[in-house]
Amino acid sequence: MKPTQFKELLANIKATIVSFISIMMFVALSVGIFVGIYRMSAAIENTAQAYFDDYNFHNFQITSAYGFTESDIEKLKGLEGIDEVEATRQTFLKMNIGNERTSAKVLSLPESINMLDIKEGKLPVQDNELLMLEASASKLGLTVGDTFSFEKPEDDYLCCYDFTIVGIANSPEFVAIDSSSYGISPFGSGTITAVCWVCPDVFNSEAFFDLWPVVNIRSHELDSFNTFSKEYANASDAIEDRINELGTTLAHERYVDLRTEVEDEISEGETKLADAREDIADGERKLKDARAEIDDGEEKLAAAEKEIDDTKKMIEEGGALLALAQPGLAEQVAQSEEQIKEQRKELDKARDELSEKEQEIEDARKELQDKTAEVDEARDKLDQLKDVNWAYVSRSNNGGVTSADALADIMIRMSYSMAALFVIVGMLVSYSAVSRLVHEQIILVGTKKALGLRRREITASFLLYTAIAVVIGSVCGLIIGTVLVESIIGIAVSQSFIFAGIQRYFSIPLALITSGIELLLVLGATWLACHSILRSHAVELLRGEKPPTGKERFFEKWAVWNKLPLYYQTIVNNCLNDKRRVFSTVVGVAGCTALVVTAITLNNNVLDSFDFHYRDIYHFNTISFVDDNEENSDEKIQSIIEDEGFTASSVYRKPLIVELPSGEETNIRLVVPKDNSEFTRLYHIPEAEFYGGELSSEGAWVCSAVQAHHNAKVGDILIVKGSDGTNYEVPIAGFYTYYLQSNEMVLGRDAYEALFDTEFEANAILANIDDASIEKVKEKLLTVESFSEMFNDKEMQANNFRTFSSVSSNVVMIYLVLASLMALVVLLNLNVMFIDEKKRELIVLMINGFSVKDAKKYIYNDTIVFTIVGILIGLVLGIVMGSITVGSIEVSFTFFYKGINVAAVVIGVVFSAILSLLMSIIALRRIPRFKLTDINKP
Amino acid sequence: MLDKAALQYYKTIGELQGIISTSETLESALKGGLRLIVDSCGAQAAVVWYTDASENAQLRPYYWIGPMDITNRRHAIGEGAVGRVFEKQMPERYLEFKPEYDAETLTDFEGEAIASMLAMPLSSTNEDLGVVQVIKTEEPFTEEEADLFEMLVLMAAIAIEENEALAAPWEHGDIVMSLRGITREFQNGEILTKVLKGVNLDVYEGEFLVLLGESGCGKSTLLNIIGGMDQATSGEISYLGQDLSHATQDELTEFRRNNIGFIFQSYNLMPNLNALQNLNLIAELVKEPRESEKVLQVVGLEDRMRSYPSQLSGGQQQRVSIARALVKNPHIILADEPTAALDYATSIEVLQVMEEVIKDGTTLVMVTHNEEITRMANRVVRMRDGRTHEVTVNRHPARATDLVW
Repeated sequence: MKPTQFKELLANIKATIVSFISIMMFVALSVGIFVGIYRMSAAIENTAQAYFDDYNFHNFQITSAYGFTESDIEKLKGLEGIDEVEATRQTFLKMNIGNERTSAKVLSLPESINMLDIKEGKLPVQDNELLMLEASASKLGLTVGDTFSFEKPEDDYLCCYDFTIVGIANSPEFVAIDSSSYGISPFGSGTITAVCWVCPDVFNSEAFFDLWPVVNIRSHELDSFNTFSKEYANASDAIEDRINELGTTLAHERYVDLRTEVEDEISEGETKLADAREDIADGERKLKDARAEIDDGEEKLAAAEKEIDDTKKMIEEGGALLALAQPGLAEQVAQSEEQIKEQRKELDKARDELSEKEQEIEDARKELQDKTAEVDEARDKLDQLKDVNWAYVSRSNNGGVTSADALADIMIRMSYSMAALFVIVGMLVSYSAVSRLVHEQIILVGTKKALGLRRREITASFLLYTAIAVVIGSVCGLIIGTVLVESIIGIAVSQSFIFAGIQRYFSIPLALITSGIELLLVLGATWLACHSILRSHAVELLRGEKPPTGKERFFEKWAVWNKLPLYYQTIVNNCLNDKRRVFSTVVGVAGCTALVVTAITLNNNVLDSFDFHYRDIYHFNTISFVDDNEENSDEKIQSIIEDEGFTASSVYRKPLIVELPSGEETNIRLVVPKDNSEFTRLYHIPEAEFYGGELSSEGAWVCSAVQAHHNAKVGDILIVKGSDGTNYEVPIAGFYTYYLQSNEMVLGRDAYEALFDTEFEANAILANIDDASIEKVKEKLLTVESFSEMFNDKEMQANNFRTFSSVSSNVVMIYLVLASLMALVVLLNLNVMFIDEKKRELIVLMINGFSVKDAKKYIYNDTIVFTIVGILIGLVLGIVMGSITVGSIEVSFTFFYKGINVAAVVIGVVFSAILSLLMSIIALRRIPRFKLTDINKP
Repeated sequence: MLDKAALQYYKTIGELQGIISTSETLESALKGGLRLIVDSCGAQAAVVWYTDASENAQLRPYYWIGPMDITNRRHAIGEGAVGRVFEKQMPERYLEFKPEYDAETLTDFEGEAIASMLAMPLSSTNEDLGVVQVIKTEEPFTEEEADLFEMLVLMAAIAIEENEALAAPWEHGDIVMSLRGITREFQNGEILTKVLKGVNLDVYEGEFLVLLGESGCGKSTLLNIIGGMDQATSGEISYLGQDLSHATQDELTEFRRNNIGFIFQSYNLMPNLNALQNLNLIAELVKEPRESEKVLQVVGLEDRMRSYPSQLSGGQQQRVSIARALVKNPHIILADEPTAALDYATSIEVLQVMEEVIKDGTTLVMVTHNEEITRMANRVVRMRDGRTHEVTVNRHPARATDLVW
């Protein structure tokens, strides 16, 4: 480019600074918004990765139903690609803090893997010292120095249960603030409120049979990959396969060992039983003989006594004679009597011995019965003993990692959907601005052509014009993205994770690619705008812009048309004759409306999803849990609640790990009603009623997120992974709309009993209790022995939505700021350009006696029509975009309401109308400043 | 040997002879003569007073040079210096003029400081026609200049005999607008440009007034001020006695809305409205507009009513522009170079339409460069350097079809 041409370019920029800035701002906005949000995803991932590296976060965590032996651990250490293996112990305990009864996960202090990030205090060294997760301590209102007790469980897992908190820490294992990412406890709701660490010695080794329930593994091979990358997943899978292979063998061996052990026990028991039975039989024989001997003795004694009695009689009858005849007879009798006495004593003694022996045999029988039961139990145990594999949790499946991954995923999706809107509108603005610039300079362009400048030389100057705008805009955009967008979203992200701050992440390739794409798009729009004009011959261009063709339009013959006030006729004619402006204004207003509607729909629909859920599906707010239900505690609880005048329904409610038809594993909470009619009063599945399906034995009604995000269909089979390693197949009977941020399925009682081969036992009571009465009801429930806890589920869900909304409301704010900027740029620019274009007409009108007000009306009548059309188009676009954007931020376990949000529509209309009006008012201020004498200027 | 003054004397007489012999009309001979007189004597203003030959004969200005508008000034025979000169048919010389000598002269020249005044009867052999009057504002005439003036007027009288007699006098209507001492200055950075330097002008009911002058002489600025599009920096302007000098923008808008029609050089039609709509747009502004269709008929566009500006030729567009000005039924139509962008034939077409407009009694003030068009006017005001320089009262305006350029 020649120096003078460059000077002319600069002069052009100066002369058309509003258009130039509008292109620049649009580029800045679209680059900023895209780069800012897109980079946020990488920033989250990098921040998390740095934290994982710093605290040596495990790559795999494996658990086994039968525990790990030292030999298992040694074998794991020997596996290729595994560098560190650390066996730890953990248990779940109940704790009471104030009136709250919650569940805690207690872990042994780590030695090298999952190291703790001490925020306050110190590591525990004494048995009664404990370290608590920062988020847990904060939620429970505990701090260093506080003491509390765990409830002592049946099995004595710990050597003590009273602790003093000596430190507050964070762990790479629990990076998300949301406690639902901490895992599932075996009690009540399954929610873990507190995570604590104690010295390893606090765990009672005997209670664990000297085994280790959890093993953490580190592989330095994976250190070179980002946890969230595909490369990591691939490399991790390879190592997991090796662990799996070893695990399959070791778990089977362990199973076989256990089985043999139990079989041996049974066999030994049975031998002992046989011996005992023999002994009892022998004892009984001996008893029988003894009884016979006693009976014989009795007979003999009786005979002897009779003989004595006869002899006595004879003596009495014989008197002195007999005494003379047989001297010493009386002495003989007395002697015999003495002998009989002796023998009778002996007989009584034998009887007592017999009685003792009988008791012994009776005891032995009882013992036999008990032993038989023991053997039977061992047999049952043997039957139940299953050949289960180890359970693997790779780093990617850790709750915190999946939360961060989901957020990063949401950010990327958001960046695309938002950037797409800005890029589209930005291109239209660039096209319209350059097109106007070219048309404004049409005579100049003609002159240049006439003077011998080539088409490409003239095009080049316009291309350079926009290129400069794009380059400056891109730089501004990168600054906006880094400073504004990242800061706003960063604050929201740091509220959901433990990271002290989100690492700023600047990617030069991303910046270059984004700016490059923007440059190409805007240059394309510029070229299009120049192309048709520059094809014309110089002489045509020198005549200036072609006036409207002025052909009579078909409707002009209509009587209705001619009766229309001239103002309206003018509006229609203006629209038909200046399609570029109509298009640009409508696009500007529509874009603004669409952004506002999208943003507010996004925010409101997420929050509305909660309201709709509790309006249409859940009609309960609290859930009470029972620990065991042998005494029908659920019924007691239900009746207490009902006595207070509230509705309640007993259910079985349990989080399960489910393998979906797609092969993915996810958490789905199972809900089984005890009584369908009671249940439907509190838990409404409109779809089930619609299809008349109720809760049939055909299968489970599954929440909509599973259908939406995992491509599941009615009739597909869900494989429920039992904690004992058993798999249960549950067919899908249907899907129902479900908006809470978790997966849930409802299975009829009969179906549950059939599919899970178990008897129904309620563990939870759903109830709809006035908020004011919750505490009162809770106090009454404490009298029920097996009552575990009651929580306000609705309040918890509301908190989840509020947390989510804190991110989305920031996005909404960005949207609104950007929409305003867009409206400012587009509408102000268009209004100013239009007024300048119409300057001569307006001056003519004013010279002819139109007041300034009339002249303004001549302009804003058009603007009002365009604004209305733009708003209508924007509404449609915003509703569609809103639905898509709401869909785009859904992750695997979320499903939001995607319908039209009335508030968004109203706010969108009002916001755009006000902005449009404001921009018009600002632009219309030019009219009174017009000099009527300018009419004389060419 | 002749001295320099004598040489100049004869040279001027020769020039006057040339003007008289080459002038096609009496008006041009008189105008040329008076210009020569003013230039040769170094006068600041001059007036040709002409008798209307009525029963109560009066002397009325026919042509004058100077910044004053004396169109409606009259001198009874025998009254004032001019009346006396006519009555006595004797020239009068006031080489050292004093205000008490002649109050009427002071009124004629609107307060100008008169240093010296000469008046000379203008008579042919057959009749007494009027009086030629010149004044100087700064220094007195010399005796030689006075001699020369009288000689030149005598010679000009010969022209009257050689040409046809002057037509009947123009009877003007009432004053519609009156401008006195109008100045207009523009500040551009540190540079102050004085475009109008004290214009005195009256616009009469039903007249066709042409403002003529070189580019930059201030004629368009004057037209803008007359039309209420611009406001004077100083001076007084009134419309039918109503002061507009200090009118607000809203008052000026009302003034334009109800009284003024505009015709522009570049037509300035609304491109998105057809001919009829362009008229209707303006017609809707006033209470009693003319019927748009009929006005379009007047300008000969009855068959192009539904045409858009882009479908019309330049002349047709200008006719729509005239119709647009007419449709409001305005008191005054202001036209700024209405034929400048048109070719000869089209210009004549447009001027014919304007001729019709004037016939209807509408006042028309037109700015033009075209000397030929001045022949159609009742009065021609030639402007120079921000002032009215010459005013000619056209005693027999030409028809548009008679114009040639």
